[in-house]
Amino acid sequence: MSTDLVQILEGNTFVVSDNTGDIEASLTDPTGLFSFDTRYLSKWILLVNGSRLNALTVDDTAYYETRFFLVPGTGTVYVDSKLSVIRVRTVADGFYESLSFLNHQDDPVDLEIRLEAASDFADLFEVKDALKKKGKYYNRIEDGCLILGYERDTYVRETQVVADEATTIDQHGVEFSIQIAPHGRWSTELAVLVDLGSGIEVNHPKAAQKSRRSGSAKARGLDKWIERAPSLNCSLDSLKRTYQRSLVDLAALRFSTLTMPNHALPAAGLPWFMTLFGRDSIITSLQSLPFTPELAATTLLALGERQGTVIDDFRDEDPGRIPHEMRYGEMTAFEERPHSPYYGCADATPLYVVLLDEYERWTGDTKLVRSLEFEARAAINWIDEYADLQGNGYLSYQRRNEKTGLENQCWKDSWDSISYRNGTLPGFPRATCELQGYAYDAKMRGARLARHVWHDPAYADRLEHEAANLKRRFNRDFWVKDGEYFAIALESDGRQVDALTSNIGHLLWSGIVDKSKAGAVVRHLMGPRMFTGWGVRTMAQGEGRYNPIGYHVGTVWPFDNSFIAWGLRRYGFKREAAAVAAGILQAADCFDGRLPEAFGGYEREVTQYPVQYPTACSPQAWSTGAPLLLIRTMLGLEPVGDHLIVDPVLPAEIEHLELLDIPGRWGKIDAFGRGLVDVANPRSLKRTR
Amino acid sequence: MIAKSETRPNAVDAFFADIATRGQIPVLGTTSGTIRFDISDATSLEHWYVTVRKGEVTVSHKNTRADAVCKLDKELFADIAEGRRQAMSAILRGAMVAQGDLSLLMSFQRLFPGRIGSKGRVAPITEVAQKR
Repeated sequence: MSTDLVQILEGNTFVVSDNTGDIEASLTDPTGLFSFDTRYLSKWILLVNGSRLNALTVDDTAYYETRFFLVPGTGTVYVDSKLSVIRVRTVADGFYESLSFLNHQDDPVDLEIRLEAASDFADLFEVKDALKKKGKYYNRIEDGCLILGYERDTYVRETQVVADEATTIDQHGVEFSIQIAPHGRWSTELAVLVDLGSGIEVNHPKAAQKSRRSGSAKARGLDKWIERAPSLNCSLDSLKRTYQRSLVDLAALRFSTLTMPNHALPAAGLPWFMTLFGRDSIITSLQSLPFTPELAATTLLALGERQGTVIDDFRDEDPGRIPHEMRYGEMTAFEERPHSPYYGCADATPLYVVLLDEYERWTGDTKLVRSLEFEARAAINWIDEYADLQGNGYLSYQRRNEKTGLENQCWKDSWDSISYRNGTLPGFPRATCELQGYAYDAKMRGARLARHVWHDPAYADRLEHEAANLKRRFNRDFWVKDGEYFAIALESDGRQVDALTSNIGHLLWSGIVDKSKAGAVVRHLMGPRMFTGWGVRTMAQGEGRYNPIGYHVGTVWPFDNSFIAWGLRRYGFKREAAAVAAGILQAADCFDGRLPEAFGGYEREVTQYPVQYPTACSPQAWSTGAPLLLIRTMLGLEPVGDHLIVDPVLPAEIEHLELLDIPGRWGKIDAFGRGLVDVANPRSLKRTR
Repeated sequence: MIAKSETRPNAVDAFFADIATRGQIPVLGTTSGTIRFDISDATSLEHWYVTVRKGEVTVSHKNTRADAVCKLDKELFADIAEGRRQAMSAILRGAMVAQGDLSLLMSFQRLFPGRIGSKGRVAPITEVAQKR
């Protein structure tokens, strides 16, 4: 799978192929043309005189376009270099493919060119779980196009293959019989279009009008996107590269819902998570607010539009709950999966209010905040009314859909991520600590909005009172006295689930930690059991389930670290924040500016290089957002009233950093900083005031 | 206004009668527009016009301009109105056809009930909670 290529449109249409551009999928092999969580092509093979081609080079010119340089023959490139083929694929609503054949001989050449096409119309869930289809397939030829179809009751999905100059179209592909003059060239274009069925009327302009569509409009869109973002100048080339990479990847991760086709929000990851996710879309919007604030606005509107209103056990929905994930495939359509949308997520709801407030603080867009007052109040209400499952005043989770719902509804969603020091797993419901921090922050920020935007001081007072009460109880009930840190969770009976984890860093970000306890928390985060030199581990070395390559039990997550750094700043530990930023950004450079979701929790001195954790998706949205938030954190950017405070504390290796034209309620502001902090010894704790 | 049914009101009539008498509906507080529901069975086609003005809902059979149109059969509507089926899934399945302002429909579908038989929170209220 390592040679597979991914191409994407701004949306949820993408192609995964091999390095010749061919697609030959099986039920479990995730190559193909995908759109709206459905595979529309599972076979797309280019044959020249009955044989497949070999790849000379592949050029990923842009995220939506790839050029494959191909030659016939099965051995080395020297076997037959008298013909070369250039295959250019541009992803749109489907894809467009331009084929050029170059004859390098002194004689004319006759070629039989064939494209084999087929589709299994698999739902992404079926690809994941290798399930069988329940409907019927059909093929037909209509108006010179090959239609591949699938039907189950009223559910219909079709793929249309359009070829202008095909000599033959049959049920399984299109063919061209051509002769190319000596040193001549022959080219043709094909289009593969997807149809979402009759349920939603999406405008599909006719194939003929679109088949010539080039990537240039999209290229202009990408240029504009980068131009609109603040520009970064820096003495360190690697940081410039990482920043540029983050902006381009964020552009590729943009996703539009059917209800807001002209606005984009960040999807969770390429390619398998190109959809609206509560948690991932909110987190990435928070990270990118100083750079691309429009993503946050769309996220807030799209999630608000789908906020829960009723009690639905199949979807784990409650009134006020912010959705977890939206899917459009067959299994969702037949309610065999609950993703229309699914709500089983405990953090997105409080984080929704956090994002709303942070958005207003940056942009001053009180109009949006006023229009979402109902949604914000419903979200705050959900915390106490529907999420106090342990009955002790703490936010906790337990799924009601036992069959297809999610067991772990916090960001560390793997089965073994929440444990005691000795490795024992707690029961349900689980009240993880970072959820209490988010709930506290949601109430504090909700109070600020109530006072300044909604003009309801009584509600503001109530929320502040509740938040103060929560903070007091939390610092008593979650504090592990003998270890001087916060437990990862509480059981229903009040027992502390006492493993030491990175979740304590999120608590600093939320502000729920008593000032007197912050120093001890930071000593843990920056100490040898947690800080690897690259970043903070998800779980401390020495805990029962610690494993440096365990998904949530020892690896380092860049997104996690970006929030930890933000939290360190909040409590005045600016040097430590700079040290975390330095480590993660140096790791980013090892990955050419594209941070993976997670990397190994090995000591930096041991491996010298961050060991990538194998994940299905790259880029991952909140890893893409991590460098952005780290830049904000290092520069100490903080909106206060109509001003942006700049308070840079940078690692010494960044001699000079400037971020120009930072957008916000102040118009545009530039920020400058010089590196002063020696991060070689991040464990020397000094609180910078 | 609502046409009175001579016999026991069916699920379609009951649903529209209910939303027409709820007064201000907070989840639609910022929503405005008209949706036409074309509801058919083997023998008939009914047009229902639902107009939302910032949360105030009126229901009528009177022909007017619609911002969004929803076409489905009576049995499916009854299933959705009683929580046996979900509207969004029905659209993805092609069983219900949605045209026009999808955002308006997205807001409106929040008035349909959750899945039938849903019980809500799973945890019992403990003594701790009562002491709080």
